[in-house]
Amino acid sequence: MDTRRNKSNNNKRQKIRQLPEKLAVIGSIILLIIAWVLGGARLSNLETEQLSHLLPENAQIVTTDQSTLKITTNAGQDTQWLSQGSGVGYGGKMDIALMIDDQGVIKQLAILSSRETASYLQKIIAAKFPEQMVGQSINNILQVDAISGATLSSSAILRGANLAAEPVRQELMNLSLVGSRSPWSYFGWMDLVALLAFAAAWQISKTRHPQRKKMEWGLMLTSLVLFGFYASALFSSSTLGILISGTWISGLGNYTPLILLVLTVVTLLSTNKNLYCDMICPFGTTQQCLAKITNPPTVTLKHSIFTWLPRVIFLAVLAAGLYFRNPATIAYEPFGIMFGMTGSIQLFILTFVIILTSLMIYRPWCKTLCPVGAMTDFLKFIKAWGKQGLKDYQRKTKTTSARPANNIPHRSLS
Amino acid sequence: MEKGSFRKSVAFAFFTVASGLVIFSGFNAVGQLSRTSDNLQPVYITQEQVETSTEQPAIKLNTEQWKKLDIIKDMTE
Repeated sequence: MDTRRNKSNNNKRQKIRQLPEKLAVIGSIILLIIAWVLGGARLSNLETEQLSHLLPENAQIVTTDQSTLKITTNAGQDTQWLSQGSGVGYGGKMDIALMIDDQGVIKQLAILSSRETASYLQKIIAAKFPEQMVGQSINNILQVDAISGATLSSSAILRGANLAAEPVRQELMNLSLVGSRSPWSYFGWMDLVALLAFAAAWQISKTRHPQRKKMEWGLMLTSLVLFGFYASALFSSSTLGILISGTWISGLGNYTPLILLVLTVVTLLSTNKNLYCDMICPFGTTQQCLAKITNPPTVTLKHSIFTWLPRVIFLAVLAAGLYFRNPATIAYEPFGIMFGMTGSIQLFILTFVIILTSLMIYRPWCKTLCPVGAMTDFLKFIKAWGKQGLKDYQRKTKTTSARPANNIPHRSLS
Repeated sequence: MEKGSFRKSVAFAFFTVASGLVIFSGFNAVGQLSRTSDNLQPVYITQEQVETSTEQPAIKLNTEQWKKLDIIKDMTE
């Protein structure tokens, strides 16, 4: 009897102890929903106003299509076309608008919306990539060399411009040069490698082979080369933003980080194992390689601020990503600098600091600010909460079914 | 100083510097996005800009031009 009472008291105490975390979980979900709703209203206003900038003064709209406007000015003497198209970049769809004259020459170009990482977009603008399309005739497919280091983003702009030009091309020249592309066509061989890497990590985590450590290192180094230096396809806070905002549905230039993220979440929820951090993350491997040099210890900072600050930062980044409909733009991880030398000066300094500290502390980024840590805590807590809730429910149903149906007090029977 | 407490100090210093950099970089990115929406431009390029191209980046802020929102709203809705 006493044991049962103690158990019930312990349960109550645990529930009270977990209350702040439960409130934090509910609050986080509400905050993300609010950010999403407000962001939708903001985006619709913004795109409308940006389009208005492309229209000439005293323009008369002659015909309208779903994405194309025929415009006349000077009392019908000059004809121009305002047309929109979309390309798929690293973070998802990019909307491009073109103003084309009646000779089929591009007069103006605007990027109406982008979900690319800011530093990559800046790189493209600094290289004057969009300008190279202005002045080109649409009687051929528009062609500009992609910007090295921002290939996906520059290809997305080029494709968006070509798709925007297509209806005008058909109308003016009776030509059809660009076809539509299914979101599935963006899957590549690196996505298959991601699946294989996870399968290998799963097998290694189960094996008791004496060479297990070597196998782990083999997988880690392969991931470092492929997902790190070759494809720069690590998942980050922005990938989670892409996943929850649903921008991946219309296509992504690179699905590999999303696949890695989904597999991480699935294995975490089903087995409680974080295979990605243990054996696949290229940045984790980099820190581990550095740790091999000096063999530093793991240091844990115990104050709750060291647990909660990374979570708050992660939540703020996700909420801002949803509000601005651009999850990739506020990514704060040093991966871009480490594997692509692209990112802000702050992230460059951060990368340098992490590399230096990795020689003194074991995996400092992973143990402190990496968003995967916050995400793992969140998922594990949700899972435990769900399990507890299910148990409580089952216990309650058992008690209710064991009770007499009409609930008559015992003394009335005596 | 003991080796353990030295490591803890390093970890604390790392956490402080890294979170400072992360927060600063986040504020920068949000500021950039807000400015972008205030000025209604991520990228806006005209042929005149290309023809008179200088070393300036090809971004034009153009908030006061051609307000034909009613027509455009019809088109986008």
